Amino acid sequence: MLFWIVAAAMTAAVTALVLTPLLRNRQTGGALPGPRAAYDMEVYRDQLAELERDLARGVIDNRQAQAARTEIGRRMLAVAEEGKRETASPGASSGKASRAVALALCVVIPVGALAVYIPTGEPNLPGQPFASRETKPENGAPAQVMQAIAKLEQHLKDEPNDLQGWLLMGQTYTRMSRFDDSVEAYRHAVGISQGKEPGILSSYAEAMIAANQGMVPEEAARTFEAVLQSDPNDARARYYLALARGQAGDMRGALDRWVELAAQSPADAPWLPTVRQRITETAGQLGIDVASVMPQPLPAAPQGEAAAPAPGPTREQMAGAADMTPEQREGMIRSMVDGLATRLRDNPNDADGWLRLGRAYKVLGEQDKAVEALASGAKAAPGRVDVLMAYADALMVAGGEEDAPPPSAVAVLREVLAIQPDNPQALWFLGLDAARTANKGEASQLWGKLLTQLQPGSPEHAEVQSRLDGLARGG
Amino acid sequence: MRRLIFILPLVLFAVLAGYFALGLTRDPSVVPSALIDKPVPEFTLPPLLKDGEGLASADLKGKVQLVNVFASWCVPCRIEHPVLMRLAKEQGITVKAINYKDKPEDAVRWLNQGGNPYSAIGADQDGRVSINWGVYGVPETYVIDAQGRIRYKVVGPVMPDEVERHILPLIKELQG
Repeated sequence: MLFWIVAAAMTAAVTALVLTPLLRNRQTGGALPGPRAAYDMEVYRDQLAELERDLARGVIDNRQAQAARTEIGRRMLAVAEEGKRETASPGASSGKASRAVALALCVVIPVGALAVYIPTGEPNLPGQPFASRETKPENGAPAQVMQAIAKLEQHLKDEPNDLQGWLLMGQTYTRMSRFDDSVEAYRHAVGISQGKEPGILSSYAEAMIAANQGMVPEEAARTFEAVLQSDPNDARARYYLALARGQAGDMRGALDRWVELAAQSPADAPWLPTVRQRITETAGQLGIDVASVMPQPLPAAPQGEAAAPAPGPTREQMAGAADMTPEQREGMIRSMVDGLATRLRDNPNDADGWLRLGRAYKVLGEQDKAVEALASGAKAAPGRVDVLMAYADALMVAGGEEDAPPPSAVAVLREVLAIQPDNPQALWFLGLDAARTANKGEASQLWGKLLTQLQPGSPEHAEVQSRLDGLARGG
Repeated sequence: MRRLIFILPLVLFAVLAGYFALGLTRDPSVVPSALIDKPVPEFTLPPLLKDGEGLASADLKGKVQLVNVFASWCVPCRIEHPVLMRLAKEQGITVKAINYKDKPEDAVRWLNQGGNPYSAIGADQDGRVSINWGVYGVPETYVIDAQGRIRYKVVGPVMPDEVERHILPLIKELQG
């Protein structure tokens, strides 16, 4: 906001600078006669003075002086007249013009400045204060959260040996990005648990890394070493110790550690994607072919041995959630279908209802029920081509044969053709049926009719044409 | 004469543009140091740690070593710290330090957490000695030869790449 105020003030100052001469000219232009007229006047006044001097010296006589004075006086009048006219007419018009220019500039300068600034500048760039403000107002946490934190802090002051309290405090500070405070809280927790809980040690070390801008400080590395002493397979400790090697410049050491970790992790381990990404990055930095070092993880662990919990939801968990959805979706469809079937039993004349029910059964893979529902639909509305076609379709799916409709479907298709003599699907399938039953004349008649409806050059057209050619060859 | 006044802004602009064209295209991290190949300036700094050594120009003779200028408030210093730790603890290189304009208690806490790679640390609280060294920002790192001359200077954090390509080969060469 400050930037915009300063920018606006500067634009206003520039506009004022540009406008000043324009406006001043307009104001003063009318008051003064033209500079040329003033100069002429000065010359004539000099001439008059000289005339007086000549007269005094006796160079000219009184009569001659009188004539010359009259002549000069006339010229002075003429100049004064001309000067007045000049300032009256062009002066006024130039004043009007400069006022218009001034107005235009008032608009053009700010708009032009914006037009240049917005595409080339960075209006949304946040301010970069010289010294960042260290003590933020608690990251804008809501008042209730702040109260809860104050309560917890007080509680820990009264009962400094409450391990769970310190752990909660550490988690809370971490979530608020107050990593230094979080380190202190976890330090208490480590002290109370006497450094014997690998989980608490790991949380403490992770907080130290977060407080150190992601660099693994030596104390965190030492803490993770201690974790590995009690559990040599702790994935979190192994991951961060590899990271520490990389940060110290030992890329090869980091890569080897990550490769080892990946090779000993089950395929569904939540940390595996991160480790793989690190392996890819580090191998890239070392100029090693990733494929040559990327290990195969162990098969997905059926054993319920959960190692260090990974922060945040993992890809595997998300995939699990995605697996849930189709089941839920099918359950929902099932309940809707059952409701619809019950309703249609009471109201069997609803052809649209039967159509929907038939399609739903088809989606659920229950072809026999689909046929049944669509048969009821065809009965309810004998003239509906869409219902009949769906019925024929269901019969063909349920009938199961590849290249020809079953007799039941043929009957329905004939009904369709009776209502709609140029229905392309009915023509196609009845043609297939006729061709199969060696009724070549009928088949070529049906397909010939179909061919006239199809776009020449389309794949359908080519297909029907080749079938017709096949009939002609006697195939 | 009056015309000259009108041309003056144009001349000034041309001079300024030429200056920028030269200045802005140079790499700011490659700053020639007037002290390269010169002996380290004379100085004596008190120790930062109670039971540790301070740093004086006399201590920088007789051995190839690094002098690192650091501060606990300096963010890039955190990045180079593990690299210095490895140089000192695993690659057997003597690293000494000037702690630049820092509160002693902050610096001590920082070293306790991040580890202490330095065999001697001089506390330069008012930054005067650092000015003599030509320090204009932390971190900076100097390679000092056995005669106590500055042979190489790194402005900004010491990165692993820099160590592999310049510092270690130079140290090997100087140790001869």
